[in-house]
Amino acid sequence: MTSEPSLAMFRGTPRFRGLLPVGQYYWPTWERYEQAARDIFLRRFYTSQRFAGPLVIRFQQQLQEFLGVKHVVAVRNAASALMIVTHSLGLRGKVIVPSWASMTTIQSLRWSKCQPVFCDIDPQSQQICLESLRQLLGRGEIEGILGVHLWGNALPVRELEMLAAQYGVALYQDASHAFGCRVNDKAIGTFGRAEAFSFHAANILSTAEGGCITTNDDALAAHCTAMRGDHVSAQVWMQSATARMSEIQAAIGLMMLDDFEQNRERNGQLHRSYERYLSDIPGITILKPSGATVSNFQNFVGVIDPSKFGLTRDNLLAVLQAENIAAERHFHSPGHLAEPYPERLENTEFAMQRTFQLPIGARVTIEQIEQICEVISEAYRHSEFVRSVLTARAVG
Amino acid sequence: MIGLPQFALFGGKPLFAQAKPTGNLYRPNIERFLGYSRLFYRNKRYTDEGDLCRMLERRLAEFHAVERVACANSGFWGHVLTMSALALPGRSEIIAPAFGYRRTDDMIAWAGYVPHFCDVDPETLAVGVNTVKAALNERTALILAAHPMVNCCDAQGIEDLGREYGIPVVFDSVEAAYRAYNGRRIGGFGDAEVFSMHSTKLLNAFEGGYVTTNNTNLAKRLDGIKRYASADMRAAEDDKPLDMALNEMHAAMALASLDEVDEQVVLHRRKYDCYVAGLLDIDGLKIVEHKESERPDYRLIVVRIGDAWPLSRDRTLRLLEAENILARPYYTPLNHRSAEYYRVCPDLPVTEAIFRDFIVLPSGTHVSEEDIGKIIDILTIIGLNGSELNSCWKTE
Repeated sequence: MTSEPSLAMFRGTPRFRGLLPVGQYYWPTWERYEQAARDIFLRRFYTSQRFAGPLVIRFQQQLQEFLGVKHVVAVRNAASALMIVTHSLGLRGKVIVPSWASMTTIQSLRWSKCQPVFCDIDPQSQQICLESLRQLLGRGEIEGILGVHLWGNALPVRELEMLAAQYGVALYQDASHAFGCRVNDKAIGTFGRAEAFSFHAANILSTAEGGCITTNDDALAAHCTAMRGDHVSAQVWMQSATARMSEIQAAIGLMMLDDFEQNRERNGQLHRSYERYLSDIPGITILKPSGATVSNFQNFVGVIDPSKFGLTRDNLLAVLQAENIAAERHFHSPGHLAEPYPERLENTEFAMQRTFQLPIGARVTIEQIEQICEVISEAYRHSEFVRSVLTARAVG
Repeated sequence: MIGLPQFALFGGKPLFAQAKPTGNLYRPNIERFLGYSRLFYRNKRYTDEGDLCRMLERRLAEFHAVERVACANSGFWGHVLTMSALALPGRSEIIAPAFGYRRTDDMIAWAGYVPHFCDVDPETLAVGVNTVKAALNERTALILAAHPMVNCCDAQGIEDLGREYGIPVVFDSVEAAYRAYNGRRIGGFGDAEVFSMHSTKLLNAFEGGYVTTNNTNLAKRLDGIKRYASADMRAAEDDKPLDMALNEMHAAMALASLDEVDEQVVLHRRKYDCYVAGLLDIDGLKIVEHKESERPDYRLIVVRIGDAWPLSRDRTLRLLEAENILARPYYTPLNHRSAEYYRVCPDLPVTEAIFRDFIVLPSGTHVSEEDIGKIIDILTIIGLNGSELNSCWKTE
């Protein structure tokens, strides 16, 4: 054990020259990309005009098979997927959503003229807290529940479906983190009335920017497709949300779908490396997979106990960022704190202060993970010194 | 049917094996597209408005001679975000022509306002100072003035009107990207102008759009609204964030198209000249001329149907469609369709009087000068056989 910490925040030279990002960023090789682009230029079919293009149709079909769902409606981004589903479900009033969710999720409700009602989370899994949900449902006036599958894990889908049925409200999920996750024999994408995926590059299945809606409901799928803005002469009254996916987005999606299993395995290896190196450090709890029987391991999430680790989460993030490790809090601010909201959500506020994400995906190697964990270990061993320096800096 | 040529509508072989659309579908040089794509391959940033997006914004600002450009993933959402940022607080209506883009009222509805339709000027086919003035009232929050498919609306007059009444003016300049009015480039009028880069437009980005403005504060706000999720950005207090960023593949395509825009216009000019010469000899069809003084791109071919033309617009379009000539109506008045939300629909005498008189003929990359010759020929034949064709309909 060295007495002199080798941390960049003291020495000034970061351990990594380039930034190690949080986020998956899997992407096809140049050769595959070039071939796909040449094919599209040859066909001269760039995006849907009167009807969806051949690659979008193929992408949707392959997703349907992969997920075991009747309909997939591919769209340009995650925000559009959520807004289209919300609107198509006919929701215009109060919708329950966990406060521990991205701003995109919460804003999708506001843009759809719905009012978010914030629900707390379970302290262990960080998924929606069923007790909190039940209380909110009991107050009445609720039209829907927008669940969020967090961190490559799954919501307690069975219980949610039962609650939704009991109270007669529409249940749908933001499945941005959960592509390829399964609960027993069923894939995420098949639960509730509908689910919305994000194919933003930070997720395991990327189309650069993009998303899709999955549902087994024929009428809902037709409504979503019409809102997407394909040729909709039969339904001219439909409010368009212009969200067509382009052919090149679909081309990337098809390639990433081919690579899915390989990328998931790599995520799993990286995940296990973190677990191996971090398990002995006091005050760090690794968020255990919950709900899903198959995870995509796309997020590596830890929860810090400052009394045992010796540093706060933000202290640790400062140490990591000095090394060019873009560790993140992920959610800038939970929904209920971003506005005047009358209620406290204790578990959410606890998670907000203690949760952090570490890099996992295409842009980080096992060797680099070993180094990241060394940094964390060193920060623990020198926590008093780190704290005093950070405090002095804050005062200075 | 002795003597009548075999029209496809009545069982003959279609004139074109491949459909001839009105959309541009411009195909830039693939090597150029791949060259730009290499830049994002190098820095591994696929979305979240990376280097290509920034480069495109700078290049478009030069192209339109404006201070700032903000990219969006479509013209549609560019419009929604701009209206939502600029509309006067406490007021409810946005004025827009009914004789325009078929989703204008949907955009206004997403922005959270009530569409108030106004009439058009019979000369320009676009909104004019008087038609906007007739719709102005104490509820007016913003004026959305659209340029017509050919030439410009009175951009200066409408800009002045907005200033006089203290009402923000946004131009829908989707079809007017290349043009100038009174020697000033389109892009710099009003508070902002919005453009589309859907593959059917002058610039093909697969899908995409952008907002031009000389108001740097507005540009900053739009950046905050779109990029709220990035570390260095926040949406302004009263702005509603919404992720509608342009991805880097689409930005690469836009840059490749922009590089070739002047060459493209030369090609459109030649095709336009073919139409002008050909239509000169057809009684009852008159081309809407592109004004040299307004720096036209000569891309869209709009034709006015006169009294001497023997068939109705709809019969003419059906005959052409069967031949795979995808001519279409100039706009269908928006107050003719029903919508899920409230709209103010006053009497629009000019729109009602003229909307059936205009059609758009195929043009763009998929239409060669030889194709135009064939289209002129079939129009000539239709014109000469009008009464027989009308009698076919009677016996149909």
